[in-house]
Amino acid sequence: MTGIELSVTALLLGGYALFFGVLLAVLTRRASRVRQQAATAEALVPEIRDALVDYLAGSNDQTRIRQFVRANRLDVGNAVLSFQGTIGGSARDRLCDLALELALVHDWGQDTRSREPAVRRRAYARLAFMCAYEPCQRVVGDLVTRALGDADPEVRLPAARALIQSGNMAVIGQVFEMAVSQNLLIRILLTEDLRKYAAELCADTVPAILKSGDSKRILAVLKMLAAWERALPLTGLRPLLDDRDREIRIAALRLAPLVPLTPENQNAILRELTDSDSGVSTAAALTAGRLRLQESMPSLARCVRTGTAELARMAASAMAAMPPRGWETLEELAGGTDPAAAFIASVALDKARRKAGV
Amino acid sequence: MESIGQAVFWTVQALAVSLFLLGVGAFVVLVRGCFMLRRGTRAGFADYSDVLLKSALAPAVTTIAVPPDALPESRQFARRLLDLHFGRNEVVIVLDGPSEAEMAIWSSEFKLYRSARPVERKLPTAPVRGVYESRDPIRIVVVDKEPGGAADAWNAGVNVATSPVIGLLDPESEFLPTVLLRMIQPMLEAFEETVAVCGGEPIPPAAGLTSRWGALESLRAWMTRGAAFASRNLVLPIPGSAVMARRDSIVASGGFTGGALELIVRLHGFSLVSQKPYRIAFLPVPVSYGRTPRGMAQLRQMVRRDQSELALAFRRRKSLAGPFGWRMLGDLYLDRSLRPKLETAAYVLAAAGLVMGWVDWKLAGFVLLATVAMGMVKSLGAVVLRELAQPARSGPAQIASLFLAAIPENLGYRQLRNLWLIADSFGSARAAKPPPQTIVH
Repeated sequence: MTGIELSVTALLLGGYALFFGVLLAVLTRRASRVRQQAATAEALVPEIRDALVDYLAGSNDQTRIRQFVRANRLDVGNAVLSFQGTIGGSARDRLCDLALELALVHDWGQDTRSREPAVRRRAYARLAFMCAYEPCQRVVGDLVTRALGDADPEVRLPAARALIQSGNMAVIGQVFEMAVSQNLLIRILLTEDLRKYAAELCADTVPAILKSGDSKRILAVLKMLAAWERALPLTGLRPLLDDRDREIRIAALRLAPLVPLTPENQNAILRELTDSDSGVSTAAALTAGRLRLQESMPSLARCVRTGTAELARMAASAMAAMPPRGWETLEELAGGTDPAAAFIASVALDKARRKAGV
Repeated sequence: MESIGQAVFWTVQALAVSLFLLGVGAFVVLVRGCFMLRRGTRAGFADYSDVLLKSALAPAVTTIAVPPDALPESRQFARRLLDLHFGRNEVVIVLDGPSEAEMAIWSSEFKLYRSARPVERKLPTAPVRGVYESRDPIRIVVVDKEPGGAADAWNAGVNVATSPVIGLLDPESEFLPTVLLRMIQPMLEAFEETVAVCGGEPIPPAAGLTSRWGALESLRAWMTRGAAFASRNLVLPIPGSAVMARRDSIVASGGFTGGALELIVRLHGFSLVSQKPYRIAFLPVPVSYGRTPRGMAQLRQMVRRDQSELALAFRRRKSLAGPFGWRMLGDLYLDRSLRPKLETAAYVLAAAGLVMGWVDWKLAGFVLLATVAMGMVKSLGAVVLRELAQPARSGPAQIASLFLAAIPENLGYRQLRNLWLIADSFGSARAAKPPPQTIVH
């Protein structure tokens, strides 16, 4: 019995060890080849980039580039992509035209049908860069539009980016609407791309979503707008400042400093300072401070005296941002009888003075 | 006498078969980990750090550290946390009952002033004496509290944190400054569902046999607790990995009762009990890894630290994760607690039996095959399966050296490590105290 066990075990384990030995040899060989290819590419890509830079600088000699394409098509693609974010205007158009001429765009279009998720994603990322050039858009337009409904979010993202590049406001509006229902990562990534169309989006697309009544989408839009951190020609924020949903009220308050300050908005902010929800009143205090609302001073002082610790701290910071009246009020509070309020006021005042170099 | 001989013979035989089956089980887990890693590698792990760094939509992160003293190493670790790249990263340093001298050192290091920052009491902790912020333009908050132990200090850090996400980095690890930017990505993909992310890679091998044994140990743990467990959504952190968790989940589950491992077990347990869809993501990218042990003393320390944490988590499994504790930690219990004991018993009985003539050479050979040879196959397999899943991550020479280190690892070190594991399990059992809060009984 033991003899059989011993033999079977030895056979099994010996077989495995041998199998792993052979597999290791194969894998090491493959690793060695991959590393060699990577080293070659690392050495080659700067040369390809140099040739491309010459071409972009006006040289019409494509001999070297075509040689590279024949020998290392993949590396040329990588080199073309390495210009993403560094060139624009006519140079980018020239580069995209070259990629079209060398059939690289066609290759990437083929790659979008690959079964490998990584290959598909890479192909769409490259096409997204190419879509800044109108002739490329005509070649791959349908492909990226269809990809907007792809099951893979990493495909939807470059597809959306490609469509943003088109500059067509109707399409960009669609992308914005798609973005607000995506996961937070995609929203973050597309928010950056959509920033330059902020003003145009605030004309129709954004107000339409804000009036939709879908609180999830409204919240996503408000956060995206606030993340643009730029002045926005948006009207109609007031109903959201009074919304029943506290999250929407807070998001609307955070957006308020970026939109035109109307008397209705100002009144709403002052009202929110006295909201029973400390999260809302804290956001209102932050907004009042950012807008330097002198009218909010009595409410802010009350927040320092009677609010929760976080609200009191935020209200004191808001007052510290409004010298000289805010500082005078803080001095009064610092000398008051309530030790907690006095401490918070004195810390805020001290910090503001230090910041101002006083 | 003959009956004793028979009993020893059959006991050794039973032990050898059990050890062989345990080895096969552990090997199957490694293979599962390989498939999981391969799937992830084929899909790729996109890096959007550049955009995330600038985005105001990315949630803020609070990185908490609980330094035990005010030594330069502890201050250096705090500085490393401040150097992390992230749009809104705040570092909370919790000092658990520091002396006046220690407090003075921290104050002068970061130019601290007493802050009006409120401390929520969401988790019960020992009283906080004071909260301090820096006069320099750095986002650091130092909490001075009454002594209450490490877990109490972690909970105080969670109370002070204002960010929705908490970052935990191992002081005994190497991590990239971009670790938070990479770790937050799986969370952003499904923010409602993802309660935590464990990320990192195994210890890289270095010159020297002990370093390679440490690397093999870490590799097996990473492929098991990280990759293989991820396929069942039961990821557990290994020493050196970075952990990121949602603050509301930490608070809801009752906070810390130990280190990062216990926290993750607790989060799993709480989420499973809640019966809501959740995930704890595994990010196998080189953002963080443990320090390579140099010499036997450091290797011993590495094994002890890991084993003590595991033993404590296992003993507290019911209070941490209710009825799900065994599901999470059962495999690890078999591999890290039961197997070393069975294996050591098998060696002793086989050796005694050989001397007394109760055990023949064939059975002794079977014992060696079920332990030493099986251990070699597991370690060799871990190296090869990792290479299969994540090709060309290391140079051929590095892979070969790690592969070959699996042979001496099982001829001496393995047996010594068994004794260490047994000793550390018993040590932890004595030290274990019930946690202050429980999930389900």
